[in-house]
Amino acid sequence: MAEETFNTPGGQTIAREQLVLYLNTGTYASPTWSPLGKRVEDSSAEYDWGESTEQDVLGVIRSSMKKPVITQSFDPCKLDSDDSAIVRVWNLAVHDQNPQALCNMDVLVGHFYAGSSSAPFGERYPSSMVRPTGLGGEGGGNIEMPIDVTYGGEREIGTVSRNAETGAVTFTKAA
Amino acid sequence: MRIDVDGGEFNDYESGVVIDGGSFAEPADTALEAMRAFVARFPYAEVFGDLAIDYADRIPDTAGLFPSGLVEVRRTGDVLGTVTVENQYNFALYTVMSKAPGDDAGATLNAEWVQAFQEWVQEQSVTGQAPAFGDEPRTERITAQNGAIYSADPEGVAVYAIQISVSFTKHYEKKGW
Repeated sequence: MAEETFNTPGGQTIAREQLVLYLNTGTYASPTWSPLGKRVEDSSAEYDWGESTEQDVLGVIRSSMKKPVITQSFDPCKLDSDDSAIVRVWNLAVHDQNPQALCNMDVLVGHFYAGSSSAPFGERYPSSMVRPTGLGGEGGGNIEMPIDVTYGGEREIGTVSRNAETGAVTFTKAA
Repeated sequence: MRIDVDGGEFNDYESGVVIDGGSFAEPADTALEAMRAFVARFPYAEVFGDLAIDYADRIPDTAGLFPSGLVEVRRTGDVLGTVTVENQYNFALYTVMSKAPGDDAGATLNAEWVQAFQEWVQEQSVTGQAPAFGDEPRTERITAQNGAIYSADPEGVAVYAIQISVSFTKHYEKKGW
């Protein structure tokens, strides 16, 4: 597979909003991609490569890694009726307490800075774990529900497109 | 209300009214007007009549509201590109009251008015009855503080000053996200 290039101007840093995690609030066949991270000021995907390094009796060092386990935290997530992703997670976690559903969430990572600007790179993880870690907040403040996401399932790569007017996102799996 | 310039015309985004170049949009609900109307709601504000802006005559039972601009307290961005700005509007309310030198009864009445106004503003803010200036009315805070005599002259006129602050939040969302 050919290497992707960045579609941003050379010599300039890339804005954080060019990397977006979406939660599918529709169905697998007809997804509705809702962005996660409204009002979250700092969130990064953490890559755990399960690395190990050994040294044999001759002093040769060998290292190994596995496919990464990727987790991303969103803290604080403030409840907002306009935030479709948060509403869906609240329903599954707080209302239904449905761990099976929460372990099979469909998420999409949009790398809008990579690939062509009209069809940037995207990754779909159809069986991800979305785990709210709390619900509450300080008096006089807001209700918050921090969320951890662990990407999972059979990874699909492809391209994403986003409607500039409506924000509607479409994922197209690579052939 | 948000006024922007677009091709020589002033577009009022809230009402959708487009005003031809050459005529200015008359702000119907600016922060200044909102504050003036709010202060006028104080049950004992009628003694002053209409509040003047940036002007206070040295005539008893008059008052003026002096805006001192906007202070941007904090600007943050979320991971989706939305920018949140915490702002503060500052005003000074100058009230002109009668107070002859040595008139303890008059001075007491004046001081009680100033204190009552500050407590009323606090109550209005805490109970959510104060006007909204930003995008998160529930978290807004209006305070009236440091009310004190500002000056007094031998002719029996005293000016009292009260600092009013409005803390509010504005969101600027990235389109199409």
